[in-house]
Amino acid sequence: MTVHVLGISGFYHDSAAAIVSDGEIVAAAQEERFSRRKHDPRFPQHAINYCLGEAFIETSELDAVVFYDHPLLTLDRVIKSLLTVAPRGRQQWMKAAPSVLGVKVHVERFIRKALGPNVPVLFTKHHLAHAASAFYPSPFDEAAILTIDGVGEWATTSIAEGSGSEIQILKEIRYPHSLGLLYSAFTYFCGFKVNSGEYKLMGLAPYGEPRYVDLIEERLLHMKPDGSFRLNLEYFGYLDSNRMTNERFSELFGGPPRPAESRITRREMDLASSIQKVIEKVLLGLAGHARELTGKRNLVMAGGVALNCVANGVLQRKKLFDELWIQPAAGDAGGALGAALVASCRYFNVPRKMNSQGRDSQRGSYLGPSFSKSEVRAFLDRENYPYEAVGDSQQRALKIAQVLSEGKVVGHLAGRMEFGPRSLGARSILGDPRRTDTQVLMNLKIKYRESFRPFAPTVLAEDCSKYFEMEGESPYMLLVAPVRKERRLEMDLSRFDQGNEDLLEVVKQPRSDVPAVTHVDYSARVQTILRNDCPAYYDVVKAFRERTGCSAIVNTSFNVRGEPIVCSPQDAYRCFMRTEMDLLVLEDCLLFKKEQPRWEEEDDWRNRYELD
Amino acid sequence: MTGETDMNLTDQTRDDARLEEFFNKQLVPIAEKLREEEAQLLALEFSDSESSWYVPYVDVGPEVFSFDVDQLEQELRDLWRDQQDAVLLELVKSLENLARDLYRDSEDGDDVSPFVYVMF
Repeated sequence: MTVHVLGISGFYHDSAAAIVSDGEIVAAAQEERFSRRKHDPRFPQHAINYCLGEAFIETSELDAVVFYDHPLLTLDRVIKSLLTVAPRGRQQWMKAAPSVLGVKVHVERFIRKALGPNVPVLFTKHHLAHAASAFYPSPFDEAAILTIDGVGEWATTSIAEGSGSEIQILKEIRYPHSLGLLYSAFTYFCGFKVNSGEYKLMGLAPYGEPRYVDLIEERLLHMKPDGSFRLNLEYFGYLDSNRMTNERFSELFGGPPRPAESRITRREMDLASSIQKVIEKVLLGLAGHARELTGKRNLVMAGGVALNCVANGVLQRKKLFDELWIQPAAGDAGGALGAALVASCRYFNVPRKMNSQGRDSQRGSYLGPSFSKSEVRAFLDRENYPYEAVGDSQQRALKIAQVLSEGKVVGHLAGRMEFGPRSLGARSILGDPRRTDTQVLMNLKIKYRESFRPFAPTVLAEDCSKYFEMEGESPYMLLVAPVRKERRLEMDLSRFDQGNEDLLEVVKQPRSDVPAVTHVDYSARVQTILRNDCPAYYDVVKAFRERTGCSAIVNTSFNVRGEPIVCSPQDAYRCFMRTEMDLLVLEDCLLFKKEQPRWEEEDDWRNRYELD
Repeated sequence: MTGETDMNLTDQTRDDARLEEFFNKQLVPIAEKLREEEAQLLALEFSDSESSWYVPYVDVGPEVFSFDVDQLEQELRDLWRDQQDAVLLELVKSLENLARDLYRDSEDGDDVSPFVYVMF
């Protein structure tokens, strides 16, 4: 009998479901992709339905549903936190109690209500779920495991070791001392939204100078030689208020937090640069200690901080470990997968399934829904949307490559949707990296987001070293690497260095022969691709190389600012028509914008998405 | 619909009053008592007195386990008794009552502010 375990995460943010059958990852998806509500924290009913459908099972066939967090220990932390600060903290209590006491301790009831009264419901612990999500799908039989996030129950950082099907957590750093919360505090202070703006802060860092590093290390963070750290809570607001930072923090950095959507000043750039350097230093310390403690040659990571691909790139280049593998859904959504895997391996004693080819068993993270060619055509025919069906994948790739080479922008939906925050070609917007205007065009007219934000390249794995100073693969876009020196172009930053804070002036300057994917510090967040990963996407990149000689293309998530990444052909078409994309690829169908009927909506769709 | 909305508002007001009361009449006095005793529930020191800020992992129960709200009272008691947080035991019954009363069939409602996400 097959053992089917459904893992779920949620009730905080980014709820998700994942199903593991006989130790094999069958499906995983975030609820937001179905509900169309970004970072949807609600019970992941749609994601569960999808997972059960993908596994071809009924709820009665589930051996267990596993929640990724321990509600009792979370309540323990909340109460002890409040007792430390009361009578302050009243606002937090009023806001949090209905969720902690009204929802989280009732998770079992929610699950049974949704899936039936007889479904077995189990729980695991937050950092164990993260650790499992990192270790079990990795290609390593043995590894050190590092999980770093905001907080899960009490832990904020855990060092563990994995061997075969065993995971042993060895040490941890506990709340309120948290690298994730430290980074979120700076995210908030720089005017970005906590839990979604962290990527913006990372993208802003190369524009600044790390002039606050010493101040941060003197006042905010105390780090020991073994990489362990504590925060000076006198500067943070999250213990006793609804703010991440407090007045002392503002005084330390020369004024109040930047209001959201206001002009970004040199201060925010320098703060972003500084906290990035600090995060990198702490990560290296933690990883170094994990190596000493476990003696393992390989490292796996998960937790929200593991999405800091700049720090990951630094870690990889330091070569503290032979190999590094990071769970692509490193945030809380990945906890659903980890919960399913840990229950499968440790509770039901199903042997861990490793990839026989020596690769990971994450399946390229293409774990979400797919839509057949006939489903796509049925949708297009029903709506009477003009399309050209190109059945031959090579021919189709050549046509797409031609459009890209003309400087046009392509929405690309092919195969199963990605699990995790990054688009890896299955739900991506593609562009020509060689053009100096691509970054501005795609940011302002396609994504409707801040102009400073960089774009990432997908590069054929076999040609990666021709473009980037990176060894090995980066299939999940979780590593940042320098663009090769010979490809770089000198920039004139004299006006910027003299105090002009117009980021567009920097953004518009060519930085390399692939400027759209070269950040201002000559770095790039690289995705390498092999044909086995996503054949249709690989063929597009390869055809682009054949046409232009360039082995890389711009790959950004298929959505606009504030919108979840598209899931279905309907979502993709809607997003395509709302933006200035030129071509939409839905499996084997090509839809040119100029041939589409006029798109009309009753109201301004931009108002439906809360800015992230 | 109006009746439902009114009922929800009534429920909300009642819940808020209970939460306020719990905070003011139970949490605050215990917090003050703990402060008088110089008891620390969170490690907040920021000094050089220790060589490492790591703590050994303490296995609280099995890796995979069952839990439902009916176990809340007993499990909280066990947890706080084991941790010698005896003063917290005074809160257990009220927390159990709050959990029972705050439960809603639907989880729809305001999004939680991201700035209090450490509370989850």
